[in-house]
Amino acid sequence: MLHVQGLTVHFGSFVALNHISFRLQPGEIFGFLGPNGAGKTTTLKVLTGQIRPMEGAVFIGEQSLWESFDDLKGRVGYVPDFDNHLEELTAHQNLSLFCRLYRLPKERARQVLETVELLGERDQKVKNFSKGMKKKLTIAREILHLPELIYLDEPTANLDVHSTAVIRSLLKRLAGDGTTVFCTTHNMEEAEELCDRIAFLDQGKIVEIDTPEGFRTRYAEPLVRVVLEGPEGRETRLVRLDQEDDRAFLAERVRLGQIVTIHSDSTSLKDVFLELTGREFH
Amino acid sequence: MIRFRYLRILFYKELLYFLANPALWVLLLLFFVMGALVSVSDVILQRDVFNIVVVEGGSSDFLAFVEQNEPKVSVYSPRAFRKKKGLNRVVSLRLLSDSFEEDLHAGRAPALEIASDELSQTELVRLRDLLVKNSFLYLQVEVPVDIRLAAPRGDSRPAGPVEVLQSVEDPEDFKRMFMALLITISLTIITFSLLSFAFVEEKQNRTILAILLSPARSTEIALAKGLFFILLGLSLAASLAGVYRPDILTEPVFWATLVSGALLYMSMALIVASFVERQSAVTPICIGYLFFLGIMFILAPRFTALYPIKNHLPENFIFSVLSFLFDGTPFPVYASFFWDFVAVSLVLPVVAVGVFSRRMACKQPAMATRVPRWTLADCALILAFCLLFQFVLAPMIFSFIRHLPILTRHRMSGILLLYLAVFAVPLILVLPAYMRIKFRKGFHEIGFQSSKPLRDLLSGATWFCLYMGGLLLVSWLLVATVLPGLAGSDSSLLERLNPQQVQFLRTARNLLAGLGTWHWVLFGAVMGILVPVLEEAYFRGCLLNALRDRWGPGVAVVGSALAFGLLHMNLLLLPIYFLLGILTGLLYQRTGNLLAPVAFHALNNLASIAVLSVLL
Repeated sequence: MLHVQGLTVHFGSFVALNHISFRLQPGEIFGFLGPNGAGKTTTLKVLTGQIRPMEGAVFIGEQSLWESFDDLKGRVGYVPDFDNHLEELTAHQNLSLFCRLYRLPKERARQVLETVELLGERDQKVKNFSKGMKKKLTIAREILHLPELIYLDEPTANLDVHSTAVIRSLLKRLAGDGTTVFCTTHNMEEAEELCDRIAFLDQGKIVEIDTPEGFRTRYAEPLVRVVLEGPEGRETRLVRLDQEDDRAFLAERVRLGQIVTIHSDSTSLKDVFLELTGREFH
Repeated sequence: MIRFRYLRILFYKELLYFLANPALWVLLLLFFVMGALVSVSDVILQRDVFNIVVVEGGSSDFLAFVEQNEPKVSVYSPRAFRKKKGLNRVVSLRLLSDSFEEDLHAGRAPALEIASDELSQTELVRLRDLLVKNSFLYLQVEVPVDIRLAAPRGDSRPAGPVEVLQSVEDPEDFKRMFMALLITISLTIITFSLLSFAFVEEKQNRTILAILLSPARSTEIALAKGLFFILLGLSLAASLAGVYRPDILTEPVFWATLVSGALLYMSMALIVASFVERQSAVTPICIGYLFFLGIMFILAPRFTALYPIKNHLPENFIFSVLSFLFDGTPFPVYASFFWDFVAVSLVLPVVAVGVFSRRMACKQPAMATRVPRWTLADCALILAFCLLFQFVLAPMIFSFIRHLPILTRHRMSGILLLYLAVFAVPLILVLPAYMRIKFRKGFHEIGFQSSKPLRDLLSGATWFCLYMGGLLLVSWLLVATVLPGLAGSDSSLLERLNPQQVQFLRTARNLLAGLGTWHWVLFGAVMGILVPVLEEAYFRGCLLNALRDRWGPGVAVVGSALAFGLLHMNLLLLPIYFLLGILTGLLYQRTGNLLAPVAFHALNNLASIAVLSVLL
């Protein structure tokens, strides 16, 4: 669906993006994960035509982004990390403007407002909205025309638990309907919960791309925490599954029926990032 | 290019936003109320400053001073007053009855007599009229005051018949000026300041980004916003004019002027908005511009060097046309500045919208390998610069430098300068810079390929010989067939066809007579080398290539020739220039090297100089 090849952006001597390449499949949720300043927003700015890259190629479907930008515009949605509404107008007026621009029936504005749970506030001016409501309105605006590909720049940053949940379930539903979702975030838990695949970005480079599961299995320490009910009382032990002795020990205790619980010390993506870059995620 | 549908939608958005923003319409209302109040009010002229000595009952002297801006009477003793203000026009105002106050109480009109050694009789009459008319202001009485002139004393001033003074300062004049200024300023504020603000606000809030990523294009966004504010400005200006002089609204010149002005301001706003990202930056620009305008209108009439700047401000143009219209004198639409202004205001929006959409466009990779080509947009930009130079910058520069000794001593150089200003100078300024920015390459990029330079030069020369031969043949035929029919008339054929041309030739003959050899060499070098190279570079190198890329070689040759002919701005010689353009275009098409048409063009220019030097 989206194919990015060797994208490079310099700001003066500062290299913001260094030969970034990735490829998105239709209907997947792709997480672009990295600390502040890693180049997430820069990537999105290039993809939406706001920043001039030094080199690289971007294809959406079969079309090159720069050669057929006007055609591609209507097939892509972009939720930036700021709110850009016409603040003096109401939510419904904002959306119906875009309905007209996209040649959609007016009913569609009502539909998306319902989707993002803003139907009750449709006739309020946007300037009176809370941050979460504005963000939901942005998403509503960008899914209005049923884009094939939607970019989201930190969609749940600074939002409360409920709004976050609404947005996440909405994104999952979109992906289920076949929309490709490209979502940047610096929130590890979000990426883990939401994304089908994740790219780790650090200092303008993609460190690695994999599924959350893949990261976990590859970087997880094969370690389980076992609580035993032995003759001398309860006891907790760490068992390494890649060692013969420990495995034998565990098998023995299972056979004896002395095990109360087994917890896996599941590795989080935080640990993976630490492993990959040698730096603490901040 | 521009789709009406999106223009309409975005226009509607502007309307919604305008309605939701009360600050804007309060401002408009304020302007309108101000204009309406002015147009229904009487005008008080306070330009006459008299120092009035009130001699009440003959007992003591007082001096009443009528301030210019404060209509009140301050009373001083004459000596103290003279010391204080250093003024010398003193009028004595003698009360004819016993007491001013008593007269007022009794409801009688106080009778005064005015006399002065320092005012002429006419001025006294005027002062009397002024006092009678505005007695409630100056003397603070609300009853009519009877003021008589004292018999002139002595014989220092002729007593002669007192003419009834038709005031030099017509109050209506002042009102006209005010209304013209108000309309001009309101147009500036709405279509320049507010529009710039609105654009930059959209950029700063990045709402423009959301709309840009919808199917609407940046040109449509720019135009919709621009047109909305133009409409707003025009309606305010028209309603101000309508309140003051409704009959003006039927004048086409009024609308042409306002629309041109509004378009010009829109372009200025667009160019500002293309390069400014934040409102904190656009505020000083807009306020600074208004401040600059104020200074220019207040100060420029007092400093000669500021005059050319003031005269070329669009505000000055709108103001003078409006003054003309309000005055009732028919406006000379043939005035060249009017058409210059209209032309600039039609060209500039194209440039501005182009610049804006280029700045807003999707940014391509910088190192993308694409073959740079001349496009029509490039040609339009260069042409716009040339026109701007010719009609605005060159006259300004010329009015600054025309007193330089070199120009006054050698009038020839003045003529050269004027000629160069048409095309050569702006092209020298803009072409290399443009090529550097666009192509990062040298001059060969626009067609100076030099694989076989000699051959191409020769073919240019050959074509010229053929052309000259043909021209001579045609003129011989003309002389043989047409001229005999015209024989017998007093004036020459040329004079009949184009009196202006003859006038020009006469002036040229006067100026060219008695030139030294070096002058001719200089003239020849400019006309024979510089001008052909630059003109060919533009008309054939840029324009013809751009047209050919789009519509093929036929349209390219004819189009570039037509542009070449029209831009020489000489209707009589248009066919000749057109023919020249066609020939050089074909020559370029054939050889693919600009040297060939340059040779042709150079020989043609040199030949005409030679003819001039022989004939004159």
